[in-house]
Amino acid sequence: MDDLLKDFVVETSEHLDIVDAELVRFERDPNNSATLALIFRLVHTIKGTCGFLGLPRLEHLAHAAEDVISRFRDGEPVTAPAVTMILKTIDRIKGIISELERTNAEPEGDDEDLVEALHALAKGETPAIAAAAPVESKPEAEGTIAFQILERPLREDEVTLDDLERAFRDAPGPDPVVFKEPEPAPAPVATAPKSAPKPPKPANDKAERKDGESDGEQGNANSVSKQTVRVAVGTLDRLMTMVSELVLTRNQLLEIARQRDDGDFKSPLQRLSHITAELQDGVMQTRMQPIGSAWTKLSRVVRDLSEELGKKIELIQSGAETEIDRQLLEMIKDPLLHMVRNSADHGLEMPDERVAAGKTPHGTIHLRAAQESGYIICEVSDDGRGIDIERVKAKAIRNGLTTEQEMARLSDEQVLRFVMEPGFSTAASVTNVSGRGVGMDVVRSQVEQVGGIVDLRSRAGRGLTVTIKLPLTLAIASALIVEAAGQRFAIPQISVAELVRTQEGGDVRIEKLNGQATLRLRQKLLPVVEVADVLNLSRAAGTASDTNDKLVVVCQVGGNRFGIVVDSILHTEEIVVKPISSKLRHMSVYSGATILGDGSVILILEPSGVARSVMESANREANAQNEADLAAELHASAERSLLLLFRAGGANLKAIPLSFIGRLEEFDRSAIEDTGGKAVVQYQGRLMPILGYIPQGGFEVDSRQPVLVFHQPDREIGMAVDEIVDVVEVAIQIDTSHATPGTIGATIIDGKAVEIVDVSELVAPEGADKAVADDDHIDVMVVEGSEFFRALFAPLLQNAGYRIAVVPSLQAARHAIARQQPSVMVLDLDQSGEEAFAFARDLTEGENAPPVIGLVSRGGPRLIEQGKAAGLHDLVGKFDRQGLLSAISEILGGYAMNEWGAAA
Amino acid sequence: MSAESRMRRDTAAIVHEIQLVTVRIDGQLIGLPITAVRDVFSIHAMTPVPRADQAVAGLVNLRGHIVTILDLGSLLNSRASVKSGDAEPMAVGVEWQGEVFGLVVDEIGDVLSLSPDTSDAMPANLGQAWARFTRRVHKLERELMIEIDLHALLETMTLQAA
Repeated sequence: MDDLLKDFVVETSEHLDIVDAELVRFERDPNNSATLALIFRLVHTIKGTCGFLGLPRLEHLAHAAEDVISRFRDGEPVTAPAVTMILKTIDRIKGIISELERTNAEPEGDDEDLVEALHALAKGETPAIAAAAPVESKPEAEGTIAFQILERPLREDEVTLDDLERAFRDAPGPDPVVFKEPEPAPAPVATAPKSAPKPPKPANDKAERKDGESDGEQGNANSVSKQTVRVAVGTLDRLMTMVSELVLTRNQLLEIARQRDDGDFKSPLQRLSHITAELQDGVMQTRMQPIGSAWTKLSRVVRDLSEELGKKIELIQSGAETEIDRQLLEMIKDPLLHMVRNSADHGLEMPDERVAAGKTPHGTIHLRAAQESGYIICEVSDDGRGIDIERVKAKAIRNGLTTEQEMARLSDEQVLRFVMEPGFSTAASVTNVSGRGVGMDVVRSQVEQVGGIVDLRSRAGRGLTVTIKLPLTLAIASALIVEAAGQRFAIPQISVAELVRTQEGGDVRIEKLNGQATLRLRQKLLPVVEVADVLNLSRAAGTASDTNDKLVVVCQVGGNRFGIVVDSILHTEEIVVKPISSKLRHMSVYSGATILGDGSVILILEPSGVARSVMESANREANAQNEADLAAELHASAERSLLLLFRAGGANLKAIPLSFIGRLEEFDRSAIEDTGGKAVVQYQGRLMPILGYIPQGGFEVDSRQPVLVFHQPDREIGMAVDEIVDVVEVAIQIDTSHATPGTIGATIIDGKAVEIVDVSELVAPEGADKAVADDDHIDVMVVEGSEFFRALFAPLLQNAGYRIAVVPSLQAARHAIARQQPSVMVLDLDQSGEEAFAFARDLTEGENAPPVIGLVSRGGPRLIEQGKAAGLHDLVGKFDRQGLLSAISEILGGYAMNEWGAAA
Repeated sequence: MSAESRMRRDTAAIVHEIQLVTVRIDGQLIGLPITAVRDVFSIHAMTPVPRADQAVAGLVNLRGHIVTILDLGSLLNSRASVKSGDAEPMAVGVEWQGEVFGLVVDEIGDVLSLSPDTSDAMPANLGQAWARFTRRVHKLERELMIEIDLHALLETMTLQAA
C-alpha cells in the first residue's frame, strides 16, 4: 500500500503540474478541445485513483473540479473566475498531496468552501435545476453520456478491472453533505464510467486510449508518455557513478596498451572504448530532462501574477526541449522562479504606463534556452522598464558597497552586478510578490553553487535580460589540469577566461603594488595569486618566484576577474567530479576531487574560494600587525571571552561561556524519551539526561530541539534551549548583584542585558560533596578575584575529582596555604596583576612550594615572559577548561607516576 | 539436545565477545572494532591536501574510490604526519557515516576475540586526546591494548573541521 501511495503521490504531482499549465493555455484558447480533453482526463484520473486508494478529501475535490471542467466540455463559456477556482482547487489538492507525502495520511480538514463554490459554478448557468446537490450535478454532466457508450466494450474485455470499478463506484459521490456515505448507483452511472480508474500507471494508458477514441484527432504532444519506465533517481545516479568508473578504468587500460604496444589487445580494447563512450552518452541521456519541465510551473505563476498585479503578461517559451541534467534542473528551478517574478513585478510596467511609453499594453516575458559550446544558456528577458542604473549606483553607495570615486570607474555591466549583492533591492516599495531584498543574490548564489554564472543586461526603458550559463551536467566537467609546486590541480573550465604568459618587460607582466602581485593585462589591473602561496606549498628550488616569466590562468567568477599563477599548464580533461570528503568540505579552496586517467587523485580548485582566501590572508596580515602592538596586547588582556547567547524559557537573552559547553547538538523531538519524569536522549551510545526540556505536542513533535551538551567525566548532560542566537566575544563585566537562582549575574552585550547562566550544577557531579574542611590537605587552591570565575572553577575542578579550595584574594590565600598545603596553586593574574606575580615569586622561592599555574584571559608573549620570570609552572587561558585540567593533571599525575615508578 | 544447549551457550559467549583488529601506531597496540573495518590496503600515490587539518594525510585512489587518509598517530600524539619517505605505509579502511576513511598504521596484527572482562577504563593520567578516543583498555598477557572509539575519533575530526 505504501508503494502504491508513493507512486500515486509522484504521479499525481506530475499530473497537477500539467493541469496547471494546460488550464492557463486553455483559458486563452477555449476552443482547443484537445487541451480540454487532456485536462479533463488528468483530473478524472486523479479522482479515480483517490477513490481507489480511499482518500475521500482528494476525491471530493477532484470530483467537484471535474464537474466544472465537464461543463466546459459541454460548451459552456470559459470564464476567468471559473479557471481561477479550478486552479485554487488544484492548489488545495497539491497541499493535501504534500501532506500525504509527509505523513502517509490525508490531513484533517474541510474543503466545503471550495466544493460549494465549484458546485455553484457547475450549476451556475443552468438555473433550471435547483434540487439536491448530488442528483443535479449529474444531469448537468450530460456530455459524459457519450463516454458511457464508449465505456462498455472496454469493461467487458478488462475483467481484471472489475474490482477497481467497484472501488470507484463505491467511493463517495459529489454530495457535500453526506459524502461519507457510499452513494447509490445513480451518482456513479453518470460520472464513473468515463474511464476505469486504476492504480497509477495503467489508469493513464487506459484513459488515454479511451479518450483518444472519443476525441479522435487529439495530439500526442502533451500526453503522458506511454513508452516509459519509471526509474528511481537513485538508480540512475548509481549507474552514472559506475559509468564514470568505467570511463576511468578504460582510460587506464588505454594508457597501458599505449605503452605495451601489444597488437592482440588493440582491437578488443578499441571496441571496449567505443562501447564505453556510447554507454556514457546513453546513461547521461537518461539523466537529461527538457528544461521545459522546469518551466511548466512558470506559466501558472505568470498567470497568477498578472491577475494579482493587474498587468497583462505574456509568457513566451523557446528552446523548452533543450536538455539538461536533472540534478541541475532541480537546482535552477527556484532561481528561475525568482527571476520570472522579478520581471513580472518590477520589470514590467502597468498597461497604461506601457502605452504611454509607446509599447504594447501587454508585457512579454521571454524564456529562452539553448545549448552553446558545451554549456546550457538559459535566459529570462522582459520588455519592461529595465534597471535604473543611476538608482543602483545611488543605492550601492548608500549601502557602503563602494565609493563614489570607485563607482565612476565601473562599467554599467559592473554596476548592474550590485543588484546581486545580498540585501540589495531596487524596488521602491515592497510588494507581495517580490522586493524584499532577497532576490537576485539568492539567484546568484544558487546558480554559482552548481558551477553556473549569472549575467545581467539591461536596456533602460526597454527591458532586462538575465542570462544563466550552466554546465551540461554536474558529474562530468571539463577542467584545466595545472601544476604548482610539483602537485597537480584541476581548475574548472567554466570559470577560466583566458591563459596568459607573462614576460619580463613584455606587454603583459606582473607588478607589485603594496607587496601584492597584480597583472597588467590590456591596460587593466587584475589581482594575481600564486597557487603555491595560497596552499602554503613549498616550492622546489629552482622555480624562483621572482622571475616574471609565468603562466597565469585568468579566472572570471561573477564580476571578479583575477589571475591564478601556476607553474605549468598540462592539458584539459573531462573529469568526473567527486564530492570531497566531509573532513575537507569546510575548505573553500577545493570544490571536489577527481581521478585522472593515470589513476592519480587530484584536487579541484574552486577559483572563487582561492580568491577569497587571498582576501582573507591579506586581512589576517593586517591583524597580525595590530597584534604585534604590545599595548594592544595588554589591552586585550582584559577579560574577553567567548559567550554563547541563547534563549530558553522567555525572550531574554541568556549566556554561557562557550568553553564550558562540550557541544551543540540538535535532536529530533521524537528521539527524546521520557524516563521517570526525566527527559533523556540516546547520545553516543548512552542515555543523556536533558534538563529544562519541555515536551511539545502537535506540530512541534517533528521539530528539532537544540541542546547544549556539557561533558562530565563519566557522562554528558544536556540542557534544552529554545534557540541558539549567537556566539560573541565580549569583555565580561558581570554585575553579580542581579544574581538570581540559576544565574550568576547579568552583563550587557550590545546594549542588551544578558543573564549569565550558572552552569555549576551542570558541570558538577550530582550530589558531590562540595565542602572541604578548613584544615584538610587539598589538591588545588584557586585564587580568583572574580566571583563569576570562582563559581565556574569550583565545580569544574571538583568534577575532575580534585579536593579544592577557592579563595577570593591573595591575602586569604596566604592564610590558607599553611593549613591546607595545596599541591597546586591556580592564580588569577588578571585582577591582581603585578601583586600576583610578586606573590608567585615569593611562593615559588619557598621550600616545598606548590607549582603555580597562572590564569589569564588572554596570553601574549610578554605575559608569558613575565610569568616565566616569576617561576610560574604554566600559564593557562581562563576559558580554556581543558588546558587548565591538563595543566593540573600534568602536575598531579606526574607525581602519581613517580610514586608508581618508585614502587615498581 | 545437548548440541542445542551447547549452541545456545556458544551464542551467549559470542555475544559477549568483542572482535578487534589489532594495529600498531607509534609502538602502541591499538584495537579497532572489526565491525567498522572494511579492508586493509597499502597506500601508494597519495595526494596531499595542502592546508588541510594535519590529521588528514591525503587522498588515495582505492579501486576507483577516493579515500581520505587520516593519520591516527598525529591525532593522538600530535606527532608529525606520515613521512613521505615511507615506501608504502599500510592503512585500515573504516566506514563512517557512509564514507570510507583510511587510517594510517605502522603495522597490522591479528584479529583478537576478547571479552570485556579483561578490559578496564582509561587510566586518568593519559593525555586528553587519548582519553577522548579510548573506549577501554584491554589487559593482554604481554601488554596493554587500547580499544579506539572510532565514532568519537571521527566525529571529533568533523568538529575540528567545522
